[in-house]
Amino acid sequence: MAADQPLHDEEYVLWQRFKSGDQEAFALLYEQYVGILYNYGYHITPHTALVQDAIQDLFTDLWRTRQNLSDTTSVKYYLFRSLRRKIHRLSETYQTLQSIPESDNLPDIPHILSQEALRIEKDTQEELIRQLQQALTNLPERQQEAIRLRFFDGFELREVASIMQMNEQSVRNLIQRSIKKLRQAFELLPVLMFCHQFI
Amino acid sequence: MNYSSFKSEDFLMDPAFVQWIKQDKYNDFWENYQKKHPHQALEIQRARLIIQAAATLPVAPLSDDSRIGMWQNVQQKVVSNTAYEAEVPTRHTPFRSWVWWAAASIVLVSGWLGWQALRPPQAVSTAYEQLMDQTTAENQKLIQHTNASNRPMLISLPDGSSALLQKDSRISYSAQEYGTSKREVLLSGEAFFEVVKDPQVPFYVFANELVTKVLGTSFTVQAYEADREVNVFVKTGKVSVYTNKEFETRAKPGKPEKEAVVLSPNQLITLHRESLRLSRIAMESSKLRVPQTQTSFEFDDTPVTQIFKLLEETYGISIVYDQQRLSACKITASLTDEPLPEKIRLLCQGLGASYTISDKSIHIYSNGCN
Repeated sequence: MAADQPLHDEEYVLWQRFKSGDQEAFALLYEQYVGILYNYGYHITPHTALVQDAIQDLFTDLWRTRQNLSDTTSVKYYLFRSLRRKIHRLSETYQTLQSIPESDNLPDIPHILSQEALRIEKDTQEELIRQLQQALTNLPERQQEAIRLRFFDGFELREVASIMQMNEQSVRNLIQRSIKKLRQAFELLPVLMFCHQFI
Repeated sequence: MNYSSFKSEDFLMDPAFVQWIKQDKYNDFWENYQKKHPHQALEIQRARLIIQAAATLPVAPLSDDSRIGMWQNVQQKVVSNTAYEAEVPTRHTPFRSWVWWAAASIVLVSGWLGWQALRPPQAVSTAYEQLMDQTTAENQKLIQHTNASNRPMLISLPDGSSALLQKDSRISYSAQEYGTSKREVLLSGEAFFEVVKDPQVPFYVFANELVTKVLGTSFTVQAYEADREVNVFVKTGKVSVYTNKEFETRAKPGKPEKEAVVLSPNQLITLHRESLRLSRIAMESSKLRVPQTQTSFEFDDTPVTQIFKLLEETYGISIVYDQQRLSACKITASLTDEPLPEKIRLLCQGLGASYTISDKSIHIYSNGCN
């Protein structure tokens, strides 16, 4: 499911069928994208009813305006971008969108690095991925969103920028800032190994 | 490209590197590169782990019921606006992928629903539909949830209140107005409500011929179209009930609201729909699904797994968590009539855990306690 690949023939055919009013193709599009769209929306706002509503609107509008739609280069990219707009518009009407408090701070961890880190055992590696994921979910919202779009959903940087309505350089900065914070999780590693010896 | 001075963050910004990790592309190049630049092994390993961590983040689960329900809503909206043919034309194009089968089953269900929607309106529409018509007449956008499954469905309302929707039940509310100027929901069927306190904005449930008004409390309303009665049971707090008629003609601001019948905790009131008479009946004789527990949850250094189990039993919603990892976690907390999503939020705050809430289940993500 990589967005950084040219539109597959299959996807192109499906899109054409959909545009010409083929309901089967419409159902297929829904089935193919609803899960990842929901996941993306959910991480913009945990208000599930709002996300579901936005997805419904998205597909309803998609069908209604199908004749005006262009031959998009990536259906996935198009849907993500539209969903994001819809969620932001809807949350203005709801006016109760609860944003996750922005905390830029991960706990300060003493910087101890050793060559030991290179010999990462499988358990430790899994533990480390968990730590990283925990750190990821503590990132400020926009950093999380950019990281997710780039590495989870597989969009290219320019696509991430366009989805988030930012320029590419700002997205670059955003991602670099979050990576710096994620790197702190690595400093946990020697600490973890230390703990293991005593448990 | 000269990578020799690259740190992990530089590798992460490089498309070719990301494609190598995620899609196994350019394998030869990167393996060769690693051999020649052993001093960068740690940076490469870090970049790889960050990509792997981000790419395997837990997915917010979308239940089958929601997925199908949302599709049905899309179909209904589309039907009401265009000449969308209800019947899906049969095609003989050979589709082999499972996706097609999944989609095909949805089309079948929705095709049937589409047909239902296109049926000429019946002579008498149901109370719920009448209520919906009144609301939609004012140009309101309604959000509707339908529980067609056998398990209760947890609906989070925009103000933080929640409704535990029982089977064969529907609930809807205005997208624009709910939570701002008023808190009004329409119900057909049965739901257990936990309402966030807000004395400025009362919470109303319109169900068949009965209106229930609360300021912040928990209670169950049972109002199935086919039943001859509407029941309201109060678990905590105070609840006022009116018949629709009383509600429309009720006292204007400043005058006392004489018609309201006020219920206290553990009281049940029944409206006989034909005679529109209200009567209190004994709790034992009703079949209401009220979460059967004490009204407050007091936990003193209690294992959190035990708390989750209690909440699961109480609400009939499944809570998914790593039992082993949470086995050492204990919590001291006093929970009362907060809505379930708020209870979960508080518990997770205490645990330092994150969580996701969907209709059917709650997922807890935690690294455990040591």
